[in-house]
Amino acid sequence: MKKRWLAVVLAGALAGASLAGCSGSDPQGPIISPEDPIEEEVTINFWGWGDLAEQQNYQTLVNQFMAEEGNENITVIYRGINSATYMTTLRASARNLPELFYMPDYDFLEWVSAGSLKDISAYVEEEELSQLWPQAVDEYYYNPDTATLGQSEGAGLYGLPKDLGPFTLVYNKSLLDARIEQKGLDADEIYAEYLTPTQAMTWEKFRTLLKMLVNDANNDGTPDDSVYGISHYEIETAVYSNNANFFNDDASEQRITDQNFIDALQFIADLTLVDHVMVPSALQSDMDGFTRFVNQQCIFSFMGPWDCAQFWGFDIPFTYNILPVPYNGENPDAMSTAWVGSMGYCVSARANSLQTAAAMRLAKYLCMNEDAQREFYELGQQVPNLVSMATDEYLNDTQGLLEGKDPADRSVWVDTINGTSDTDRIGGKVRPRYYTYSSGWYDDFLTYIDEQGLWTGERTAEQICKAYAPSFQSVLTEMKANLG
Amino acid sequence: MMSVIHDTTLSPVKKVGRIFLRVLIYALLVLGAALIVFPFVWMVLGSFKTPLDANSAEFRFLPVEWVTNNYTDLFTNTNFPIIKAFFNTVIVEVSVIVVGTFVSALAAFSFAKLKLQHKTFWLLFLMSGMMVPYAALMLPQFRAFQSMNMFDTLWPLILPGFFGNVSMIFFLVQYMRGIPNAILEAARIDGAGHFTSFVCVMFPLVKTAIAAQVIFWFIGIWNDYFAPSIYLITPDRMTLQALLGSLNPAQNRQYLPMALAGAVLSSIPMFVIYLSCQKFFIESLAISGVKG
Amino acid sequence: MYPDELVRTAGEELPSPRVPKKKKVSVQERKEHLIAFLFILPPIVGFLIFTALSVVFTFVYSFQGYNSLSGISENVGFANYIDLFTHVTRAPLFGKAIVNTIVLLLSVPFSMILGLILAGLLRLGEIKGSKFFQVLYYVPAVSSAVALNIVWNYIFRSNGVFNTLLGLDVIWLDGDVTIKVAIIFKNSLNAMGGAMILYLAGMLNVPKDLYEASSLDGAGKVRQFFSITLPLISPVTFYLLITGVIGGLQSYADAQVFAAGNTGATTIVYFIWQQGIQGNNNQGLASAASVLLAVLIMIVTLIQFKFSNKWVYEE
Repeated sequence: MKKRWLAVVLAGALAGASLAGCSGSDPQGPIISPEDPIEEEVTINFWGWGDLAEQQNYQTLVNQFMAEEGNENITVIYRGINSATYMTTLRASARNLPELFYMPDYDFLEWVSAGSLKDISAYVEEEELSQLWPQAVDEYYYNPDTATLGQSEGAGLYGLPKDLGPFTLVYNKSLLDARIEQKGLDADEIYAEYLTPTQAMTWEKFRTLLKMLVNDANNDGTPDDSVYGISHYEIETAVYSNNANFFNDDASEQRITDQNFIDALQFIADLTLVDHVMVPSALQSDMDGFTRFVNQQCIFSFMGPWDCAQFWGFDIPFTYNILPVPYNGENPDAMSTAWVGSMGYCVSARANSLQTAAAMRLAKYLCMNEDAQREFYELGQQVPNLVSMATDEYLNDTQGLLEGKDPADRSVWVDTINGTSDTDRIGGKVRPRYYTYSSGWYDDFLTYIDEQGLWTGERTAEQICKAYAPSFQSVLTEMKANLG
Repeated sequence: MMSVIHDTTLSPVKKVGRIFLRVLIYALLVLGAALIVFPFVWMVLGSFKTPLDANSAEFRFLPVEWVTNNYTDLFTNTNFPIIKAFFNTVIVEVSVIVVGTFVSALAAFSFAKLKLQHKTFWLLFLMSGMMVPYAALMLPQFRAFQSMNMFDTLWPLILPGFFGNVSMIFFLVQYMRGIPNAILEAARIDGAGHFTSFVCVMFPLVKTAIAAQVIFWFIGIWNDYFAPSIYLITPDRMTLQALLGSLNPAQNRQYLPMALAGAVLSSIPMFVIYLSCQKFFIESLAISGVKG
Repeated sequence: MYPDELVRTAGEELPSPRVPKKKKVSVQERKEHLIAFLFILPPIVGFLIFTALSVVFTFVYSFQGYNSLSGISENVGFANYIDLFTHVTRAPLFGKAIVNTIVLLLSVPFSMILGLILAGLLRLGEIKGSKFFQVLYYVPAVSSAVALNIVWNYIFRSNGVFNTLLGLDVIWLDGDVTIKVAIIFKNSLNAMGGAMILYLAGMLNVPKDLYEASSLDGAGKVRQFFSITLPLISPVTFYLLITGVIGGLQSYADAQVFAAGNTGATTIVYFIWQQGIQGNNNQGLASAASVLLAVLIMIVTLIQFKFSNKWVYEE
């Protein structure tokens, strides 16, 4: 009898343990005004990601924050996590979240709709938000009643933007200049015609330029010196820059059978298949685009502001510069549109009012404090969140903190975020995954087009997209249903 | 008998043939050995290359420049703290093996030498667990450890080990059955309880058998990757294999030489143990196969 | 060792002839029963928690949809099992994982053949350094799978040492077929040492007089190998096959470390990890796949118990 009794108890223990946490009641107190200093002692946990340098930078800033006036009672425990495992960690800790944490834009909807994030509207003033890039702030609004993203009647604010990062074209200037000389081209002409920071290239021009630069005497697709024109091509960027998208505005209907979408995919495939200037997809598993660029095995690639920290850290032996992404010149509606990534500082829904107040003080410090923002751009982590700082101090380096640091044309990033006048047509957009309940569909899509032989020319983009459309539509429908 | 070499009645032609055969056999064995050794040679060579060199499009056998900072980085870079990982691995090893071995040996003693009701049932009961794949147990355990706040700690790796190791129990049951009962009876007549006779009589007698099992278990834990890679996320809390996995150069090529250096370092203790106990390894393995 | 044999012998331990059969159990004996039970209690408790209960929960989860963020579970009936085979994006992943896992099992027979050849060479040549070769060939088996996978990935890169030394231009790490060939190649090499040692031990156990008798009948070495050696070492073959298949069905590191998730080499366990742990928030689906995997392995194990005495030679 005794044994059975014991077994039952143990079974109960494990079952209880695995069910515990389903029923947590969170103590909500009165909202503490953002102006008031924190009177009680409070400890908050703050999780972020990034490489070692970024983690150290954050620790420094967190220490500065705790030393500031009014924060004497706040203790922040910062934990930096490898970016590759960050979301897995956060998910595994979903029922025991830190008070403040990063939330990448492409996972925001799933988390906010599950009720894991706290509405922080009451902890931040309209005036404070108005200093920031409006589209960055807008990303973190959500209306739980209608399950819609963005600012709307009844929507709450569920995060402050950590950054806004345009992923634009980058070129190895040293390598490019050497090529121009080797080929006997006119450098001034090439720069004026193709490499203008204020004027994006059309796809045609970009292809012409790459074909001019790559050494492939027998035209077999393998450059004689293993230096390719471009490492890879960002799919969202090509799609956006042909005025196409994966789906309609509310992500309920697929749009991958639109001719513009198909053309964008085919453009990427043809860079390898027809023009022989891009690394074939089979070789992508040997080396990712970033590594290939650092190792000088391609002239062009893509980069975001956060990559600067690594580039500067590596002390790479070449200079580089950025350009707006190319667009389809044959499509009158198309303009240069890079994807712009963002991350939010979000507060756990379970944080009590005191913890929330403390977490929000820290989030605001990191997001909009001038000194903090200055430090971040100096470290090569981001374009400042503060519009006034980005468009003057950062752009013109009025503080002299970026002297001699690549890329020289930071204006490309500012323009991509800010948008420019209609004539030069440069802009940016958040990635499509932001609009969907979960983000796995994007990898599924990439796997599918790869397996169907888009990159090897076995099938055309048109055949593949048309074949995949019904499946993709049912995935979109399923994700909509998940939102309830 | 396959003895062909020392046959004295062979004709000279056949003798030449035999010598040729022998040379051929040696050549094949050496070729096989080269295939086995090569990855380790390549591991060591790569660990002295710079990331640029290791990832270069041009093939180079030896490092262009021999650098040691892949090794020194492992000791200084707080994202890949190999020393901490080593100690974490040792913590798991020691706690699991000390407690688990004692528990296993005690259970084996009971199965082999004590009057136990439903002995057959309990043994079969324990054995049935051996055919359940870990993947089929992983999710509930993962959720349970998560809700007990043991995610990203060593506990999920240690706790299950505290309850013993079924294959060790079976091996020891067999071995203990070979110990004459008279020895235990003598102890019992002297007034020793069952526990005392286990600790003072049985345990010393089966020490070597236990040591053999402990070494196998030790290596199993050392090389275990699946569970550590699931539960451990913070570099400071990882075991060696989890840390190596987090350096996976298939995901980030810049880490390649550092990952190879980590692979070299984490393999050294295994090699030392293996080579110093090699005779025993080969023998135990041979027995397991012949007996099925 | 086979369980029934073990249980039979262990169960017959310590008969007490002095106690008449029908006499009531003495206090002394009850005490021993209790102590004996207490001694085996920890492994039994461990089994109940970490195996029995976990299996039950996996089974229960496989009929649930679970949101790991909100912690809410709902019953979905057989939806997860149906999704495994019909869902537009997940069914192809699972299908591939099954096919890959089975194709990758090819390394088991290959390593056995290599091991058999090596053992035969060692026997045939009466090699002096036989022990040396045994120790060396077994090294990969005691090495970490992660470390080996990292270096093999490096070896198989398209501008890597494998292609260069063999003068090939194959892209091993991409593509459905080549990546499997690469994994089967490396796994066959890594496992051949263990097979060799077991075969060698098996060969040494074959009674010498059998060879002598057949030599008198005029049988050549080749015929002896096929008519005597091979049948007599069939228990080894069987053991290697079963352990190899069971291990192979649970393969994970090859898919995760060597192939870095390339769909040409994902395995069932990788699929379970990807759906249940990595962030797809799909523990129900992963549990359903786990249940199917457990059933598959159970079938293989039962085949072992059932047919071991029919298929293999035993004295």
